Amino acid sequence: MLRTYIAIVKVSLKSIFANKSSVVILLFQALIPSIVMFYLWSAIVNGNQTIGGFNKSQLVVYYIGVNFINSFVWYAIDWELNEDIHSGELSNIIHRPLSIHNYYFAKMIGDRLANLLLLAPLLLLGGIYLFVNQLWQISFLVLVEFTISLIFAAILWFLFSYLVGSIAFWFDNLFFVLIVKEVVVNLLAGYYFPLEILPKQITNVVKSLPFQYFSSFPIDVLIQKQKLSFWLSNTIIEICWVVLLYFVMLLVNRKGLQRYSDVMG
Amino acid sequence: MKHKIKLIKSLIKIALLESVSFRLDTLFGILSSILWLGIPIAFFKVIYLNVDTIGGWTFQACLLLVGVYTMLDGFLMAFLVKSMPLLERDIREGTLDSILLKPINTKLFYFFRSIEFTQFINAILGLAVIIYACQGAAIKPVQVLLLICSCALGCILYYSLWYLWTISAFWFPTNFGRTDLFLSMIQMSRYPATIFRGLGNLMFNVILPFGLVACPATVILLFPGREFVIVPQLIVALVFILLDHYVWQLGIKKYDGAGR
Repeated sequence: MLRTYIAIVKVSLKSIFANKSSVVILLFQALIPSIVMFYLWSAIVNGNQTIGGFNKSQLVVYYIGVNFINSFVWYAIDWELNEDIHSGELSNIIHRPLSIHNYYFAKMIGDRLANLLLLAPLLLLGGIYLFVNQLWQISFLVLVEFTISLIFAAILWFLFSYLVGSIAFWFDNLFFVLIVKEVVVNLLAGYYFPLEILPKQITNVVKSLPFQYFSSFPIDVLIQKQKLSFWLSNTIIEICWVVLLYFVMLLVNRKGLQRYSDVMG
Repeated sequence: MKHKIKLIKSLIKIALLESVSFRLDTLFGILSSILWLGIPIAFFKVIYLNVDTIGGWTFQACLLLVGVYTMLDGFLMAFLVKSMPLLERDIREGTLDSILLKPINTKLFYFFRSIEFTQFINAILGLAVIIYACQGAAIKPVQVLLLICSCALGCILYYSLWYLWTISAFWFPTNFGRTDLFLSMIQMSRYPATIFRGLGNLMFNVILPFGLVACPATVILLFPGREFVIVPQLIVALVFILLDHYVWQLGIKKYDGAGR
């Protein structure tokens, strides 16, 4: 069975590399927002000034990091599920001896690995530049913490995004539902700006939600030199969210598929 | 001309029926309009809690910029947010033939093909922010006239950029939609154009003129005596109109040549 899912991962990965234009666009998609944010924050923060505890170079690293995480984690599973349910493509998946969520998860891994491979040279160059110019220092432990946080972020993202996409079992058109979801998640995950910039009370509320684990938490681990106990306690909370969303997803999946069967006969 | 107007009326009628058919989506369309405006305002508000200016722009100036951008964005998103992905899909999958064979201008057809009416709420909210941000400012009639002209030029640039990006699928087809990248790039139009320096200035204010979409209109309203900013906007808009036409013609030739 595992071989089947590995095959799906490979197909998903190869489909990205099959098209050279797709590769170029993916690179633009990762680079341009980072460049714009670099200019914006360079205009906002001068010299040794800090905002929300971030100085200029940390803010630049923050945005590069957020875009990197975006490329690695944020797979549009909800859009895909929405399209597959409404086009009837899901029937082709149901009829295979596969679990639907595992199928989509394998597709996501393949797609995200392709992104990672594409961005690896750029990230490496950027990392070397920051390291050589002493703009950013990192220990091996932090790197391990970040990698683990990134993997959990991908799993949590998948579960959340799958749940949102599952709404398509019940409703006909989700275009704006998914747009709103993206805007809200971008805001609450710290994609637009570091959550620490917000007033303290709002930061506390936002940080009690699971969205911070999609990008704010991994990037904070990387650049804010948090204590091991902080990382550990947050990771345990993140795992609890993963478990909770997993069971909700199983339930929604079962109910949704019953409804889908009704519609498709 | 009469025939064209009749056709446009029919397309608008179809789009209106499509828009109201999906109630949940319409509701979320309205919600997205509010968020689309609220988030950049919140963003700037949070930033200005920490600093006084961004590239020489005060909070009031940024608020006005967000208002102008949102108004233009809402207006054009209504026409393009669903049409451009359809055009791209038709180019990619070879179904453009059926549209080319229709007795209607293809650009016109795609412009009115799928209107998302909820986006007009965005435009109205944007206008409300402009009025709010201009409170207390002594604005002359000539500034208002130039503002309208600048907004029209901004619309041309917005449309051209999205259109060129979409029809680049003639040469660079992708196995996923490219709208996302445009939508994330156009958002830089709501930042002051002065943040881009050196190479960034050339890149984002001339080659990809996102900085010329909403900024000149804001400058015209807020800084009397700097109305000349409309001149480079006019020149770039004219260049992009010609470029649109030329690239489309090339694309059609390429499309035929591909034998799809």
